[in-house]
Amino acid sequence: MSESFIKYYGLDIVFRYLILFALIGNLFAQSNFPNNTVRLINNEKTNLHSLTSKVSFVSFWATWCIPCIKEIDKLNEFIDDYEDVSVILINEDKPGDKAKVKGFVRSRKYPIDDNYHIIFDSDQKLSRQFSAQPIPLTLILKDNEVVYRKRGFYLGDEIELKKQLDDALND
Amino acid sequence: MIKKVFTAILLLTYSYSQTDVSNQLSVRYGDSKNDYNYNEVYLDTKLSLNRADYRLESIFTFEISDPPEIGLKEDGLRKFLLGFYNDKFSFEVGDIYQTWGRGLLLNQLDYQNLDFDTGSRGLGLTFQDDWKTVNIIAGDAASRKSTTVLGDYDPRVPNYFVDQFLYGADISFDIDKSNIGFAFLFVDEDKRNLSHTLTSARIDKSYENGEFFVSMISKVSEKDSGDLEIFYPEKDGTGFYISNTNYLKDWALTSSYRKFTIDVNDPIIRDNIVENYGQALDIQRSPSGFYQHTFRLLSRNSREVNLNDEIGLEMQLLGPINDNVNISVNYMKSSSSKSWYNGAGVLIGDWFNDSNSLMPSSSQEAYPFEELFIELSGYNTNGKAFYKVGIDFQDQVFNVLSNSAEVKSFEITQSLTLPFLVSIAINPLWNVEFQLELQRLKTGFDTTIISDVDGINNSHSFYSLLSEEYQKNLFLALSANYKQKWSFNVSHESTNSDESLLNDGQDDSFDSANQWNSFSMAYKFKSDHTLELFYGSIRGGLDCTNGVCRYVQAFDDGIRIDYSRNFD
Repeated sequence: MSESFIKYYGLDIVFRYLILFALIGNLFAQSNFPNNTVRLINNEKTNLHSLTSKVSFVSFWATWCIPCIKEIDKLNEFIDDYEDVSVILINEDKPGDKAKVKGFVRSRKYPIDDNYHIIFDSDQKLSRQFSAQPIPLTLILKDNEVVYRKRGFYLGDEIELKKQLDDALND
Repeated sequence: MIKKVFTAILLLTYSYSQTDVSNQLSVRYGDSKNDYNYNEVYLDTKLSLNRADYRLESIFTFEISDPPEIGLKEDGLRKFLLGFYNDKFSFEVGDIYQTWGRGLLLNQLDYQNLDFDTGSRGLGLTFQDDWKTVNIIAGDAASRKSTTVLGDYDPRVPNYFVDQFLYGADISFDIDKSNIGFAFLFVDEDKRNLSHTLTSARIDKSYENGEFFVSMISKVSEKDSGDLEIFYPEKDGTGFYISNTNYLKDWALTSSYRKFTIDVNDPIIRDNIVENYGQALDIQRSPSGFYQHTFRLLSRNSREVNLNDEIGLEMQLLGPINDNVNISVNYMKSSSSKSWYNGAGVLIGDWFNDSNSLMPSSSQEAYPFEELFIELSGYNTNGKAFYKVGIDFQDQVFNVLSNSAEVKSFEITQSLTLPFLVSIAINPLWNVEFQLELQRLKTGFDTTIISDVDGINNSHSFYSLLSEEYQKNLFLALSANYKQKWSFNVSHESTNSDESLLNDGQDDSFDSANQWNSFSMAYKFKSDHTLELFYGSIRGGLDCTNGVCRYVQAFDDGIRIDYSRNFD
């Protein structure tokens, strides 16, 4: 959109108010997990809310992202202890690499079941909705509302993730 | 006045009681000795209204940058999206990003770090039910690039702009675990009097022990000469891609084949993005053929898929060696669809060709590329240390300069890279990471002067584009993280052979340094609220994200400050 177009239609004023609106909004900020239609790793279509549970663990990841892989490896070590938590791993590899992603998931023995899902964000819509770059971006949801948000992962961070899951479950 | 304030408070309270608000702020500043300076402020604002049966959403991205790290300066709204969504229908206005299938026809991306944005400003509609999905798009796309074909080349500031109006539709059907799709797209370019028509079909099938995907595309480009008496031939191109993944217990073998002949041109004009009006569009991406390396030196040595003229094979084998170790073996081979030669006694500008077979050729006159990358990754027995170690071989001809009966000359690159990374959780407070990469690289002109038919008296020479025949590169990085709050990083990169010979005197962006050191520290105020300070130098070179590559100039002896905060 050219600058002149914005000014011609007075949109610059609108945008200034939007910034103000957004900044004031921080006082009330909350973020709900949207009910987008998404595609699972087995090609099936579904809605996000059909994958979440009371407490959900969501992570934006890619096969080339080393911290993401470490985070998922550590998650897989302890997630069996959290039967009531559903896991949604949102893949950010390019759409052309779907075949590689499927092979990667299989070879790493990611425990896909009714509570552990891998979905593709092929058009980066979820990534834009959550400003997910740079990845990994991890969300913990309670009743589809984001209650914890974390960017990056170092070995040892899983202790904090477990604590956040415990807090969400016990609240 | 009181009435207005009261009304405003009432409106705000009402709005926020039903509205979802999320903001991401990012502030970046850089100042270096070689004038690689920038200051940027980004604000991503998401507002959404959630209802039981629909959702209204807006995303606004504001940018103030003068200058930005890469691209053109901005002052205000950079992107926006207004959308209505319910179970079956979505309607979007603003900057639309859609991907149809696996992107051979349409894969709109926004990689800000590369100044690569192929979104279109206009409308996007989606209708979907249990067994079908229809996507419709219409809008203006404006892409930009830095190219040496035109004057005023600057790796940070684009000098070539393409404005297009695109419209089209994609329909796909879900049948069991298969997806079958058809798409068409029309793209008009007023400035160059061009119109492109793209059509495609695809099948995507998942089954218990693997998956199968095939995609075909046709592209027709027509150029109107306007009032000029010039005949521009219609350019017809095609693309074919097929991939298959098979699982055997925990092992997965993925293999793919591609043949893209969208715009085949001789070596003289092959890389001219300005004149070749039949070339693949920026909104198109090859489904595969590019390996996204995680290591610094390997990433800088990446190669983009050439949608215009390429035959390629790719294989990847993944699997666990034991409970703690995984192996990944990747092999890629490609070439152009034709072998090029200039006949004896013929002017160097006259090129002839022979079509290659269905498989990629290894002959130098067919732009061959070959890469083998093997990587092991895993944990030690107590799970406290993660490592990745690999080996990578690459061999490429990226320019055919002459291939006549008298002279054969090719621009080549060969490399061997050994990357290693280990990350250790020492205790609940400290985590350290060490990265080491070694690379031996050769790049230059491989020339043979042919004196006789037996080849006995032929003279062979290699002219290096570097100051040594073999460039030896070293990258070292050490980082320590304390209590998930503090992070300290030091890095060192060196080479025995600088790249100043690559500079023909026209461009001062090539790096003539031999070592680059840096120190940075970061503090995490909250889990998504970080301040990072950097001092030092970063080597320039190719920067690639998901198959899109761009040359990035060096950052020489300066400071960088990055601040990012999420307000959820």
